[in-house]
Amino acid sequence: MSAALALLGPAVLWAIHFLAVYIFVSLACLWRWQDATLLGLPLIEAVVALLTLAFIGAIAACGWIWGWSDGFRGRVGIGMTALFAVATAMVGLPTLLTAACVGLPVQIGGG
Amino acid sequence: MTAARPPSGQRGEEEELARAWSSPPGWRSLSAVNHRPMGRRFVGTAMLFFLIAGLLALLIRAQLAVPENDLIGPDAYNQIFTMHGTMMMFLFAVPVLQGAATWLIPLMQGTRDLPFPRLGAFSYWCFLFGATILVSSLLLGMAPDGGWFIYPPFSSRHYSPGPNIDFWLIGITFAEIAGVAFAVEIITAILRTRAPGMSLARMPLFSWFVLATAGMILLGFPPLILGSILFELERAFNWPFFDATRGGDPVLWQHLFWLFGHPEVYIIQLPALGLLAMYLSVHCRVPTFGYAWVVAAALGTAFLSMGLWVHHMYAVGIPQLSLAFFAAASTLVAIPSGIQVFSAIATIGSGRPVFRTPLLFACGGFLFIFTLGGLTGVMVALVPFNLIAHDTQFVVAHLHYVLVGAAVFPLLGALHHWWPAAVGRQPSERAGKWSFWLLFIGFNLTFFPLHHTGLAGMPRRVYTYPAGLGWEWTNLLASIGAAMFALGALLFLGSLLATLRRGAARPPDDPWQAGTLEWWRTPPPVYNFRAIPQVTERYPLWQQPGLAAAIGRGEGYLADPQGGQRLIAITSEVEARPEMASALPGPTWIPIITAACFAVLFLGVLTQVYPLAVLGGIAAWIAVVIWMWPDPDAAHPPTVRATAELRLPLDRGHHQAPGWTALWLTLAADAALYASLVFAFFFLWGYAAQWPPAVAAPPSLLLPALAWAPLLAALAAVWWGEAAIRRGDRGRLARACWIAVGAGAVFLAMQASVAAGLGPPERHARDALSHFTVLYQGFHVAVGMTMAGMVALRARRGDFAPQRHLAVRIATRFWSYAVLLWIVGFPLVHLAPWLFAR
Ligand code: HEM
Ligand SMILES: [Cu+2]
Repeated sequence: MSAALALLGPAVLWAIHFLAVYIFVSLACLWRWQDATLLGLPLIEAVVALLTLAFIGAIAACGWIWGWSDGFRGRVGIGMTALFAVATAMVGLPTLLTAACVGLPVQIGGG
Repeated sequence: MTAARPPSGQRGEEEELARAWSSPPGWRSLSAVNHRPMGRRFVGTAMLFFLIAGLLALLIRAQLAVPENDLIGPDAYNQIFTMHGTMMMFLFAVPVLQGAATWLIPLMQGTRDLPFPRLGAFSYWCFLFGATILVSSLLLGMAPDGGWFIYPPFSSRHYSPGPNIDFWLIGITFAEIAGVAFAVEIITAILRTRAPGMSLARMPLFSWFVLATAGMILLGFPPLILGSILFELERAFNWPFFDATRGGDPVLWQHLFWLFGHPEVYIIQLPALGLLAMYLSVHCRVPTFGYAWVVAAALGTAFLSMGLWVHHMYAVGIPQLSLAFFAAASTLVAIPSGIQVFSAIATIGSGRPVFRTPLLFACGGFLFIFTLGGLTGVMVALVPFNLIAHDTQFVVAHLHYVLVGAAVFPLLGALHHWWPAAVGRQPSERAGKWSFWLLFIGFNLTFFPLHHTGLAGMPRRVYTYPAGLGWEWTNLLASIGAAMFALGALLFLGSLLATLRRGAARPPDDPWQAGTLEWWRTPPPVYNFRAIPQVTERYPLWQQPGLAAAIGRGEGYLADPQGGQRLIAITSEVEARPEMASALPGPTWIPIITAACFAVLFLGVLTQVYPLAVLGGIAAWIAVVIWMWPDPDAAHPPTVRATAELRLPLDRGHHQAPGWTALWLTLAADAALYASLVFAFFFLWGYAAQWPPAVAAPPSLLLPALAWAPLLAALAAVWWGEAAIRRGDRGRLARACWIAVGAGAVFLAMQASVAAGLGPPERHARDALSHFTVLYQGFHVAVGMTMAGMVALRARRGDFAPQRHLAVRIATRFWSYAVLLWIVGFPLVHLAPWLFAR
């Protein structure tokens, strides 16, 4: 079990983050939340940034826990941690860089 | 390194082993199930389809050689390029690697067979029958013509009324089922049947790559299987999943297709790169550079590739943010791919390379061609560039650089490399090198100019083009190159086949001085290993001196077949500690018969003779029940002697037997299919133009709610039965299972009347999805009932014991899973008017 966690933990976390961000932004756009705010920050961006930071933290923790084990497991663990930390950042960044909800092909509700 | 002659007492054991493992001759060899014949058949059949698809490619290139050519008309051209792409992807690239893994994995891992030989054989026959259905359409002149991803609405019944698309949907679904069966089998093999001591860290790289690939098949094929079933339901019964006028959406098909289609690219590529990593290190005479990083890269690619599918749909008109997501993720795969390329370069750099044919294929094919394909891949991953290059010949150039560089060249190198082990003949270096250069130059001549043609504006999938647009010379070059490539392919395969003639050179043992176990003797005997070796290193033949000779003397595990059994060792997942032994089934007709029953079912659907389909379905059900019925095993003792000191329990009925692993893998694939179905509900809710259906009053919830009672009763009953057998009470187990069967039947009857009240499935996509969900639930309950019924019958016959009742455990887990499905499905179907309001 711990071997599976060491090898696949960062990747699984990335996948969860990917789905969470993708689904959240899709729904938020469907529900027209693009102008909503959270403590004065734009809601969609704030949630995505938070999620991204949290997941990068969790991935780093994975690397911290298993990267120390020696030999094969440690090295694969570090490799997976580095790769998927970057990948998670890459998934989070676009929301922060472009406006969400632009270019929806179907205007929901409005007809 | 010829092994020392065994002392005469052991010669008897060796003969007994050979007898136990040999397959019957002549036409009865169709009943063979062992991984060696099955692997050979897979590879051979796939290569045949490669040749046919290659012939189609030559037709394409002949037609495009000059402008305004009238060799092939537009309709035939559509069929030809569609079949070329479809056959290359589904009937060549995936199956050939399935075959390579089937043949090589047990040998590399130091064991004698895959854990479920009959499943492997079933997989092959499904593939063959599905492929035959698909290819027969070419002969009938009714081949699919909608491109290899057959987008609706173009391929809907309305615009494509003939059976062309049905051939695709049915043939491919059949072949995909073969793929999933293979994935279940090979993951279990890699995790549970490695030679004792071959811990994860000592596993050959090929095993890692195949493990990653099989995981992708498990999660990546189900979306397409679902999509194809839905599409066939739409075409055959007018259920409007993809019909925009009735709540469907053609883009849903694109999502389902590419959820599969992008991983597919890596499903093709990873195992080929695994093969390459193995023989690269042999011909460079050093271990692979950065083993751990390469493993991480393989696993990383597998995961990342599941999150890229939308990059095939940039031009569809999806929200900008989604585009950004998928562009970011797409460029990311360059990292693990880069790690593999650098590892290959470093292996060559740090080794003492011998430039024999396989190494040429590795360098030229992979390092050069694949890297170029990867670079254009990063280009088309960027949205603005993609919108320009989309659907042009640039994409044709890109995809061939990737597929041919990452799959075809590594694979041909692998054929040359493992040919001595597979057939016991030494391939010709001279012919190998000549054909490499023909293939390499021919390939680049074909596809390099097409980058330019594409940027100059020539679309893909056009049967001809006018002169004067600057597309002439590149097209002509491409056609010349294709002829050269074909020549190279013929020379390559012809020279391999020529070694089969009488009196051709035979290889010495381990002709390349390789380090992994499949080379302990060349070719390895039918039983693979005289004894299953104890592995302590990553390259056993390099690092464990005398190992080959020791295997030849029968030193290791399970040297004695103990009454002519086909024994393999079952080991733990991580450390590969021997846990039990498995006595595998020998030749049997059941896999081919079962696959044939499925073929009848599919043919019935294809020809719209539905009674035939029903008949095939019932026959398939009976065949599966017979298959699953255990052999009378009273003759066998519950344990076998593994070594002089160690006895291992036989796995039959054991709670941790490989079947237990396979259960969870199968459920994972099933869950992936279900998740795709849930996605379909949510996607249409979010994006379909006509939504929701105009229904007056929401249907009554009373009967659907009541149907929970029999479902939960069945679940409680099977668990009660398991508790009973843990105390050794077979009578109560049987009673419990009959209760489950009865409760299941009540549930099915109630569901049938619920479905009748759901509204006609032709009315709206949501209704169609609801009906499908109800059917899917019914299918699972029917399977659960079958399992429970079989358990009950076996319990009556005195099967099962407190410590040995795997079939009971599987049935309870399956019922739990079926109830879980309905916890998700019930709201989708019955709360839809509230859940999916807009
Ligand atoms: C090496 C010899 C090959 C040649 C000369 C060749 C040629 C072609 C050409 C000219 C097209 C474009 C047809 C058009 O758009 O009008 C095409 C499409 C395609 N090829 Fe190949 N091909 C070869 C090998 C392969 C291999 C090995 C694979 C896969 C493993 C493959 C997969 C495809 C696919 C998926 C398409 C797209 C079909 C579609 O548009 O629906 N090809 N090929
Ligand atoms: Cu892709």
